[in-house]
Amino acid sequence: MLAEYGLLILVLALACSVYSVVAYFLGAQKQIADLVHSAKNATIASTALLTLAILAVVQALMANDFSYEYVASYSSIALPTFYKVTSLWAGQAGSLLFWGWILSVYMLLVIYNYRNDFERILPYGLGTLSVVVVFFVALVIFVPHAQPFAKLANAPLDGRGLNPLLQHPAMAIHPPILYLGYVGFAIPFAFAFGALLSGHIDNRWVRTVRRWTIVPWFFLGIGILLGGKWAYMELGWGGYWAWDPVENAAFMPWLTGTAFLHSIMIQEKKSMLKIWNVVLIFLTFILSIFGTFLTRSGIISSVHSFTASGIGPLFLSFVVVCVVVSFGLLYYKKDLLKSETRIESVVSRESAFLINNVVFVGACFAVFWGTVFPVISEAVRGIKITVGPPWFNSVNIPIFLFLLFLTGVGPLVAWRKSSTQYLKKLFLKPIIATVLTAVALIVAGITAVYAIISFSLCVFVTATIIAEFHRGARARMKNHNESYFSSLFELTKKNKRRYGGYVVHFAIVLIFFGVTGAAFDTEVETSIAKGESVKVGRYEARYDAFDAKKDDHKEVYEAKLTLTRGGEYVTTVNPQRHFYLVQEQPTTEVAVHSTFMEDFYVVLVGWEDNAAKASFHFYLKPLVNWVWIGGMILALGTVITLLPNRQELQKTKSSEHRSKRTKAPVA
Amino acid sequence: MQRKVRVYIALAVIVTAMAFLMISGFNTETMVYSVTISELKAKGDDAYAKGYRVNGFVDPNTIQKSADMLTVNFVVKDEAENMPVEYNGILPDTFKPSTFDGDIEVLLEGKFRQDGTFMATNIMTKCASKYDPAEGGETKTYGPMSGSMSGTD
Repeated sequence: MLAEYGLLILVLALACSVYSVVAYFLGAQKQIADLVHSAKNATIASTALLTLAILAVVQALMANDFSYEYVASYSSIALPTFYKVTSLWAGQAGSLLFWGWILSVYMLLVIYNYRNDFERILPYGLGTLSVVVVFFVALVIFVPHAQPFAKLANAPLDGRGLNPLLQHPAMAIHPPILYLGYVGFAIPFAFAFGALLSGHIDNRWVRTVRRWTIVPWFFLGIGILLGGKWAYMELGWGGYWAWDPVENAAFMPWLTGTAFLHSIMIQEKKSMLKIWNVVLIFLTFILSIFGTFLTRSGIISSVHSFTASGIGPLFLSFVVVCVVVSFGLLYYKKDLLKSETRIESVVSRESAFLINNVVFVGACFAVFWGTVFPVISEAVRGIKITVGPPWFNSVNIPIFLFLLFLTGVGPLVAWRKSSTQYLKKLFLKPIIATVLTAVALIVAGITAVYAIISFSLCVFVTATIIAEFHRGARARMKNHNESYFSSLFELTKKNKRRYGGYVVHFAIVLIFFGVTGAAFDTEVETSIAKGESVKVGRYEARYDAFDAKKDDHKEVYEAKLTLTRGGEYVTTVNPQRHFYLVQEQPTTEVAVHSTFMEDFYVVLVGWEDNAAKASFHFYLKPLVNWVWIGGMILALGTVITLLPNRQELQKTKSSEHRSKRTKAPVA
Repeated sequence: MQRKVRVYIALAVIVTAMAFLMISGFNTETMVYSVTISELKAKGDDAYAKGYRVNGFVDPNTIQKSADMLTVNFVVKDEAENMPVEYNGILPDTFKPSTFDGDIEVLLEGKFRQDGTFMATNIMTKCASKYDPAEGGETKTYGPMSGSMSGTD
């Protein structure tokens, strides 16, 4: 068994990582290429060892070796193989190991991609990353309950099994994708450290950091959406977002990351906001660590589990160290980051981006404040006050609507200054469409103010995006003698960053559209006898039959309902309740009839008299599907922006040659 | 220079607006105070006006469900006091006796009623004996979560 040597493997990995920290920094400072080279080898060795450790945990899980505390706590004989593997990231010890492993793999990618590149920056950057690896590997070696290879004195015959709520495909892949996001933000962080320590910042650094931010940003966004989908399908309360600390933990770095992806463009084009961009990189990574801390320590939901869990104080110390070191370094090196130009007008793209940034960071601060408020309030005033979704909604809805507005305005206003004439030409049609939408919604009798604003802004932004594509395609048609659609395609191909960005913006519009549907949710909670019907919005649901089944590890109870609309048959829905035997825990399996218009969502609550009567909770949730569709478009748009441009490839190549030619020894 | 000032003014207005939103968001509708049962009972009239969160244990024998299973009554207790609770909605999946002792540890959110009953709007359960505290050990719900096992078997 590999796991027998698990601890040894981890200790060796730690040794390699510690060596690489020393070798990277020493090699970078004294400019000893061989030392840096050996540090890279140490990183490769430590990655191989961590991979082995991961395999060891998986092997122990697959072999049902319950002598390991971790296996006994998160797996069981009856658990399906797929979920045995996913148990790797179900518990604390496995998650932390997994975190460290992903970081190591990211490091390998960086080493490989830039093997002849960034010679001055990279050793410092990789050294910084190695420090983070050391932290995580040390956690899984030294902290009780964070050790994946801890043995039990008496091995139980069967494990406790995986929490049934986590036995869902979306939940199985949600943590790794989320981690790819959290962990990936370490790369721009490291590049920023490398640049500050080595004193080398140029436009190629900017482009590289931007790309390495888009990747984790993308994973984090998709991870958040998957988490929402899981909550929606598995928790059975009819929603996908509850401003829970764990959700907020992932949302905060996404917000600062988004701010960074915008403001880095100003640095690229105008050499402005350099300090601000480094601040955003630092914040994003630190919030990722803080997010892992929130998720793993449970400090927010209960102060008691904070003291009980060993990793809480360590993580918080690590966050504090990160803050102090990174901002200290920034202060010390701030002269490196002088801006070269100034903002010239309120109505310019620079200031639109600046406003965008301030609002994103403000939104992030609002989420942060609401999340940590209970802890701060208890520490400062001794009164524990929590704020729930009502607070978050009342603060964030206006902020996000303003962001949506900026999504429409920002990309269209020109750099430097936009003339009134130009603005009129640009925005006249979108504004007309927006006003017409608002009027139509009011005439249709919709009274929810935020919903009217949101839908109108969705139309506004969509109109501006369409106008942009249209203008570009028309211009191309004239010059290249192509058909409209092929010029649309060529246009996007020629400028993937810009038009991919518009696709991402459109995805955000769709997500707003879907989320706004929540303003029109209908709920009915009732108990009905077999054969009886209940009216839910435009639908009628009839309780027809009940069924009970049993397999190896769970009992399944299922109600069958027929759905009709205006007397016409729509479909049948079968909400279930499962009872997991090992965990003695029931779970809800909701039934959803999903269309582009709305989701009909049913929860089986309970039953009596041999299921002659059953209780249901019905939800009619308009437009929910557009949230997930928006997620898919988001993925598409991100991929478009990441595809290399032909010119850019050539540019990178030539600048590589240049940098090789001009590589002069620096004192 | 004047243009620069205008940009700063725009930013200042936005920051002020966001600060206003955050501060005005804290009101009796959105804030929930964590208290013990005895603290809640000692609050007098104040107890009826605000939202509270109470930590305690539920003896499963006190749980009574209405005929339609949608209203639940039970008694929550801590070391010093106990208090009747009414809850309209679906109980969380984890609202069940834990493995080692018979009581269910819960966090209740809601308002105190004049007759001494706590009207819970959210029920969160803790079952630390079973899972890591951080991993599904506490099941948090906003809006009712899924229901109780009753029925055929």
